[in-house]
Amino acid sequence: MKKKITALLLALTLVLSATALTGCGGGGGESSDGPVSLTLSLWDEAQLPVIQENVDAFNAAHEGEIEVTIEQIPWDTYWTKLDASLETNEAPDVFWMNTYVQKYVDAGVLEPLDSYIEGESFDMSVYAEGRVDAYNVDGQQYALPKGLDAVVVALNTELFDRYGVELPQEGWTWDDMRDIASQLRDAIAAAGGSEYPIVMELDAQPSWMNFLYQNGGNYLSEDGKTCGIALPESKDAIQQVVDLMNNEQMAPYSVLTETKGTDLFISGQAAIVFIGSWKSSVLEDSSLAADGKVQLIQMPSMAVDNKTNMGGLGYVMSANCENKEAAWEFMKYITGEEAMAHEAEEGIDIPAYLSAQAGYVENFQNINAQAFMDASATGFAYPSNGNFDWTTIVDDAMQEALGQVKTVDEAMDEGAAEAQAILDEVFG
Amino acid sequence: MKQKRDRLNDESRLSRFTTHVVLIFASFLAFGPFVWMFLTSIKTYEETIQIPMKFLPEIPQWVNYSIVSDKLNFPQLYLNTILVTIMMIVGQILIVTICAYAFDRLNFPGKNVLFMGMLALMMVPGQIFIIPRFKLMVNLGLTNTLVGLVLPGLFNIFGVFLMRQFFSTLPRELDEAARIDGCSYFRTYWNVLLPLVKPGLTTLAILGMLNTWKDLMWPLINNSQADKMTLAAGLAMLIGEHTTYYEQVMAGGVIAVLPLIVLFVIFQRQFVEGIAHSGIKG
Amino acid sequence: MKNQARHFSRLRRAEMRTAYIFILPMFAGLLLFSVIPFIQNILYSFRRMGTFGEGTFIGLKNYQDLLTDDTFWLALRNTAFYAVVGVPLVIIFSIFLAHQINKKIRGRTIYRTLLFIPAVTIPAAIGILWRWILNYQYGIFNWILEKLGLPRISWLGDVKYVRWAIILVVVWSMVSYYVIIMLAAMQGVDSSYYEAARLDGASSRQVFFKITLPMLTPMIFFSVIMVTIGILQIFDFIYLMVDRQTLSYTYSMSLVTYFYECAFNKSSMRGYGAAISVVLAAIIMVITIIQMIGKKYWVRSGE
Repeated sequence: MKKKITALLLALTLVLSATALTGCGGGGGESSDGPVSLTLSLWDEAQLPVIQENVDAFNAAHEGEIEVTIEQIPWDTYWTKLDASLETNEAPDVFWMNTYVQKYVDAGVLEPLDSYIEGESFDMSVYAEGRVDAYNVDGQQYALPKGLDAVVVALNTELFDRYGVELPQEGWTWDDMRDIASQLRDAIAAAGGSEYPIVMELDAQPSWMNFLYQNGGNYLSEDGKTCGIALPESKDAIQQVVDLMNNEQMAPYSVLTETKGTDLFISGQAAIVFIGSWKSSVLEDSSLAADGKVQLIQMPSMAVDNKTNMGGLGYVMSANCENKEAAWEFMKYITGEEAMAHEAEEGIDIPAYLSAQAGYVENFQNINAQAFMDASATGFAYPSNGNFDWTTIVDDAMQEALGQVKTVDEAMDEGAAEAQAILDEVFG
Repeated sequence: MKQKRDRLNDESRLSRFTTHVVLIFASFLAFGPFVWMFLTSIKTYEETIQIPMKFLPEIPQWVNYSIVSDKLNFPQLYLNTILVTIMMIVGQILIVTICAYAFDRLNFPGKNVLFMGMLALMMVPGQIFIIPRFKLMVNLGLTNTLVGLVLPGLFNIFGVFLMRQFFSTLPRELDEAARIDGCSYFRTYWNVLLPLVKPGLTTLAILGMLNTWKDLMWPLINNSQADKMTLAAGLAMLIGEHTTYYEQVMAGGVIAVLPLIVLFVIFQRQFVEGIAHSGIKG
Repeated sequence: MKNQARHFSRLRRAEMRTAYIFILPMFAGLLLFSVIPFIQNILYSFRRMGTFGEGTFIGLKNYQDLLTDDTFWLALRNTAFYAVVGVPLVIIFSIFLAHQINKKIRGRTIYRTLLFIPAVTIPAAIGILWRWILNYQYGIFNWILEKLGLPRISWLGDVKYVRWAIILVVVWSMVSYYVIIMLAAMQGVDSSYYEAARLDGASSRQVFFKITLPMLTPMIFFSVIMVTIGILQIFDFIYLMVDRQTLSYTYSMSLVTYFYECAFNKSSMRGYGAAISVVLAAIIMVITIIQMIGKKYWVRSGE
């Protein structure tokens, strides 16, 4: 008897759990009475609290009509998960987009926004023009721009003081930087310290993407058909970085692999770091900055100039969204003046919404955030042609060059050839 | 004679000493990392990156546990993992044991061919199924569901082999007696034989549980939403964050490993027997 | 007589029918989740396929590309390295420790509990834990090395060492599991063998090499196969311990990691991933068969 009951219980559990769970999965809450529910996906943990506040404000204003919930997915897995969810029609209604936009336009999973914009004569000139254009694919607008970003250099003034090296001045060059790094290196060695003169992130945007162009080379030609990493100027730019590492002016590749440049800088392990504006709040909140030991300065010039590439996120709508009008309302709000002013005040992003930009700088107590604004004024758009088969090859080639498993010449030549083969196949 | 025994005693005393040294060292290697995980989890960020190294925190930072709980919904992850485990164990027991019973006790044409077929299929490494399985889950609408995590793992061929071994140790007289009493095959299996292979069921349950808790790739692929993840996938998400605060990551690790360790210490005998059975010769 | 035969065959038929019903859930599941996917996967490996849709048929192109793909060969070499270095270490350490713990000494319950804990810990947690322990700047492992007068090593950042870091953790976690299995096998050895040996005045070393080890060969054989298969499919630790955007990831990549990246992380390489999984399966099955053939030359038979 007892056994029978156990068996019955077991069977019951299985059935119950199975129904309960499939119930959650399939049911959804799309009943006609309650408010329309929307999901928003984004990746940046640091921005989440502020965006949550904006979303809360939106939800409060649309009480009983629209309810937006945020789903944060870390950068590492964001695109994989997004692809999977688009494939399974479980995509978030609204989500963050960046330079990958063309890929998703090609896959037909993004909702074109032109009809909404025209329908209510929505004025797109409230946003920075470059960021609007970045999300205009084949004459159709696919995103409302959120912000823009730029790259600057952060200095740990305490280390400069401690080792008796003078701080660089605006208008500095790579020669100046090398000189400073050598002084720091020698002083650190003499004092038995463990800090590094220069560190950087290994990703493209805050580091080598800038160097390529600043030195007169390129990543992708203007027409988007030719990969330029094997140009002599491009190779030279990368070689200069490798030389920094070999001369112990920069932390070695293996160290930068394990600990991100920004983390090394914040923990006081580095005097100079190339840093993107998306890290500004991390910097502002660090104890290093709180102690007044961080100073921002424009990037040093290479052969041509010191302009930085400028990315920026946008909000896009899934083509499968079931409540498109509500999603459009939300997108206008979250990229609008009120929300962007709040983001600016909190210093999490430089708004693409022009009239909201003023609030950005004032709200940094510990760092001179104006440096980001200055950099963005001259920034160039992050180069992209929407195909990412060739970019992974270039990324790998860069890592091989920086990690010195190949010479810069080998890595760039091979990478460029392989990437070009794909580009020719796709665009030729 | 006496001399010889003394020599033996000395030898055994010496060897006992070296055994202790070896085992203390090995235990330290095995468990030390977990101690370090715990110590790190109660430090401040500055203490974790302090040079020279600091072993103990100034003031234990229990707040790391609540910070990491804000990032990952651990109760939800636990609930998911436990539900998946229960479904996996119950489902396997139902599907696997009845199949094993048929292969051990009943005669039917094609028995050997089917059995060899299973044996062959068991040798095929799992990666080969994953892409089509994922596509199947997409078509069934079972991505981002717990059922989708369980389904492919239910049909555990090793479990059939294992349970068949257990059934084969039971005397045939039991079946005959049951038949004379008028039991159907199902009742013979369910009421007479199944209760007698409890150690086998425990083994099946423990191995099923370990596999479910440990699996990373399938949950990573099938379930992309944070509220439908298992612990393993959740931890993978934690380490994927841009900025790595190890004291928080370690706090997450402690939350994830502690319950299983406690469970292991309590049910050590069952665990050990279960794992030992996974080394059974097929 | 005739009646009886008919009765008998009716019984047989009933038994048959019951058997088929009993094995139906299992075989239906295997068909749906293993047999059909197996065939589909092979078909996919002949296609160029992205994240979306079914792609186009391209014949053997994926397999031809594998031959000239440096990353594939690197992954293959890495996987071979893990198996060649890892399998003997796991087997030797687990036998050695099982032998120590099998002795009647004080505190063995505690030793056993501590030694077994890694075996019941989720690999995800082990991965993040060792990532921290092996950290170049702040990891305790390098701190210990320094105290021993050895140089600091960037275990997870330097492409020369990252494979050793992975092997270290693989062995660490697997030994714990196989100590349990070896210990069970040792305890299964008939104690009369030991008594006989002791009466003959054999030293404990002799007992170990002349009795314990030979009696263990069937279990060692089984473990070698299982450890080999397990290591050839290594994924979790690499995925969790190494930053996936850096060179270390490529240089520690196993076949399964490469499969995962192609099948689920690159925009148009799912068919290629399928081809990798087919090659991996073929490799594992060939190695298993070779080991099975080798079995009769060294496993003590007859029990």
